[in-house]
Amino acid sequence: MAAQRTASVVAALLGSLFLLFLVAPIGRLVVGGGKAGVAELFTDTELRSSLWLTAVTATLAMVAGALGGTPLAYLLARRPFRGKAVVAAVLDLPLLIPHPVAGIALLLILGRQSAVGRALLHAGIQVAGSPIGIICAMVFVSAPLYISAAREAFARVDPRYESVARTLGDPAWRAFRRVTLPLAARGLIAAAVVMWARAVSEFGAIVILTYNPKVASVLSYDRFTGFGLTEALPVAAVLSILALIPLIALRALRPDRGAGLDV
Amino acid sequence: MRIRFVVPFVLAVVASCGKPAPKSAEGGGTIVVYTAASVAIPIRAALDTFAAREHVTVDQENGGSLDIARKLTELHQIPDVVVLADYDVFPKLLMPEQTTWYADFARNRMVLAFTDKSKFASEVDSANWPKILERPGVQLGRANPDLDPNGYRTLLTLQLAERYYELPGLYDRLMTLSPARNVRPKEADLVGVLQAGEFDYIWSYESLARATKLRYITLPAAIDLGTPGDTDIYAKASVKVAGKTPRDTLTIKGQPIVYALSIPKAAPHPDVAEKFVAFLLSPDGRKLMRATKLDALGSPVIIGSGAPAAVQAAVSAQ
Amino acid sequence: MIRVAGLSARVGNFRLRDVSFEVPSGEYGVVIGPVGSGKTTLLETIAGIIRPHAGSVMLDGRDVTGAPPERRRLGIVYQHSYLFPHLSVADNVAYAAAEPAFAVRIAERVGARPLYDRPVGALSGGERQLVALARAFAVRPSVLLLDEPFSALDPRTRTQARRAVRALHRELGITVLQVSHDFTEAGLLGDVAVLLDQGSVLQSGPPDALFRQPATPYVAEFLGAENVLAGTVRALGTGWPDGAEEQGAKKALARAHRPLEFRVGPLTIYTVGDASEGDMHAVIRAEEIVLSREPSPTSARNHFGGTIREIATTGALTLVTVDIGGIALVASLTTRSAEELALARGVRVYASFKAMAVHLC
Repeated sequence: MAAQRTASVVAALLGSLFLLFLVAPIGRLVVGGGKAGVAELFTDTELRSSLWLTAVTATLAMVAGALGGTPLAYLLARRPFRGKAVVAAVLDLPLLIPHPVAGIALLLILGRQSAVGRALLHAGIQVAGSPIGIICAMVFVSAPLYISAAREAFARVDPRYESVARTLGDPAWRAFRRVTLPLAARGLIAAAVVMWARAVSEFGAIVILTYNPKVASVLSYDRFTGFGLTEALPVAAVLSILALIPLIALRALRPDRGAGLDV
Repeated sequence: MRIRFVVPFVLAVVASCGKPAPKSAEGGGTIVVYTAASVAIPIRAALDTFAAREHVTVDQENGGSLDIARKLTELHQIPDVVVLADYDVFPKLLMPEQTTWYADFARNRMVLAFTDKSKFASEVDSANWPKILERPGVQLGRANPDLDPNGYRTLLTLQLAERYYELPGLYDRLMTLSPARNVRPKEADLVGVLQAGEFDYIWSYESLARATKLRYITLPAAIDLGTPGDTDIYAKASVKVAGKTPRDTLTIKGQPIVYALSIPKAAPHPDVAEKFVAFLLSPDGRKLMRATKLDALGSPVIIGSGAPAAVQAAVSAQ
Repeated sequence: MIRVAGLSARVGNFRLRDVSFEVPSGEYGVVIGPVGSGKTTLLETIAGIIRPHAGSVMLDGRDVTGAPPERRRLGIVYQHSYLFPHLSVADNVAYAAAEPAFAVRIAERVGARPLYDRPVGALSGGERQLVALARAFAVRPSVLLLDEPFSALDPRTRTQARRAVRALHRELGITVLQVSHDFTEAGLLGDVAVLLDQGSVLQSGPPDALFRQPATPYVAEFLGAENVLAGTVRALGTGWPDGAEEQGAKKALARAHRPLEFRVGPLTIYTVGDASEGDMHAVIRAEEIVLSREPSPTSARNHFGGTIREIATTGALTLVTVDIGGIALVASLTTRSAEELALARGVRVYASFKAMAVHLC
């Protein structure tokens, strides 16, 4: 009994230290720049437009990643096919690549010198130096996180639920929509939150593709290198405070689908 | 929440509060150098040779000149040697608190860099570049003037060019050709984008264009900020960049591009620093730098007082 | 109707090898087999959830081998109910029902209607199975596949569910194929029994035929035949030694079956069949063996004296193992009769059984 108490105290201590490690730096940011940052929200148009740009691009990136990544995640979770392990590993690569390198890689594929880039320009879509470029960089570095987590969410749904739905008369897509998706919803939402957060924090890949207009990560870097801590803290603090809102909202979305039940 | 969890948490919070420990002087055997990115490679070459000879470990960090200045003034991270791409940063930001002297040791000039993939690469030369740049479809990249000296030097060069070629409105037109979309934080960030084909031309330094094996055309001496003696000519151009805060502005006049270095007052290993700087400013050091495409000054100059003896000796022995 | 021909499939470690059988329209088929024999794999292949690599599946005269599950007009109920946790009981039952009113009626028949107000997660295992059954029936399938749906139920719910399934099967004319590892259940429910072992069909036909005429000793043992003896068969030419004939034997003989002699150890057992001579197994079910304290003559052809080696009583049934010249025969009788006869270990008894009760395989 004594051993158990010691173990739980040790666990609590380690947990507290680790929590502190994660929370304290951000707390320090908010304490140091929170007041100034919130005040600047009203006066600094560059800051406002940067935060707005970040919110819009990150959300669009999340939507694009979810739309494109969900079918892929489902396939990886359900269908056995040759080379699945290779595909899964390849999908993890964008997470590994140093971010500026990722930016250059995207530029080579989507820039005006590439076939795709030329076609896009022809259609009037400019990638580098535009919000499109920002979204591309965000999707590239954050979608693999989503796919990986979404795959797990689908894998946790027993395939027999889908089989039952199919025998009841649903074609595959309807069984997916009416059964699999609701049961996986909680995991998918958690995955989307991670993807959105990762998109907001990206810097290295974005700055290669699109420096102006500036997202919040680029602006805080600029403020720091150009003007120092006093100018950078408010940006970082406001970003942290504002980002809490959608994060809490998304995490609070707990669809009571009973996905944890085993019925 | 149970006591079991609250107490360790509180302890952890208390334990982590407190002032940061002062940076203690470490023992010899290491040299810490903060270098402007545009001169990183030549300095590295000199450091490697020095380190091999003296058996010291090298700790080199590269960054923008202003970044580096802030590290000293705001973050209190003091290196042994500071090497900046703009001598002016010393009197403006670092003297007298961080150091009392600096030495000019190399120069550079603005060039227009490009690759074989660039539009009209086969045609462009030192005379026709204004016309080439204005052709439709040409993408011109430049650095952020608020962050990188290369950025505001670009603007100065363009002003001087308008005067020199007697083409009124050239400055505005060339600025329109490199809008916010074509700006990147630092010159180093422009190179990759140029090589990927997104830009056709970028404003760069000669040393960097040579080091990264880019093609480039030189500009007339009156506009390229490359002659240390021509301060009067260059001073005819001036630009406003952001000052201490985003809301202030600073007026910068054209000046020759001169690289300078110093040993901060609070350097952790002053003896090793003194030896290295003396080596760098010696003929051997200059030969090394030239080998890495940096135009080292034949006669370095010390501005200010209080430079260590070996450094003064190296400079006087010309 | 369900007709499966040459069906072969492979899923992980489970295999089906060349499975063929038929359950006529409106009849009740039972698949029996030990654990791991591929029973669930068989159902899922018929349902279209698993794709076979050889063979065909016909449902109601249609070849559905290439059709996806949603087009096979069948229902499946697993051992685990797989109720959709995010839907209510009512929505589960009505999930694919064309007529919501029909779904509710079915729920009433099956006994699931009272559960409508409860959340799915609050139901017991038995209650969930009732809902799952209602859900499957509500679609009006023409074929229903059941994978041991009653095994996890308590006895009372089990009876209730079985009864409801039987009734709906008859009323709606649904062809049912049910998996069971309990052969007694097969005997109770089925019109057709299929014995599956390691993915292959060992025998199929009316349950009675499997029990009374198992194709192999293994089948006999699996189906719980207590007496499976290995010995030799010899033809007996004109008739039995003493010329007396049993009633049933007359009919068999008339069908060109011959009187046969089966030797095992010191025993000679008389039977009737069309087997050829040689090494064989004889299967005698325990309930066919009658015990008495006296050697009273009956019409049974086989009559032996022996000593009781063991007695095992389970409720109303008692199994008695009699040692006859070193050969053990197991007889079953009511515990009451066993008490009346004052049977105990070591007591001398006489065991008799008809020639017709002996099946050779």
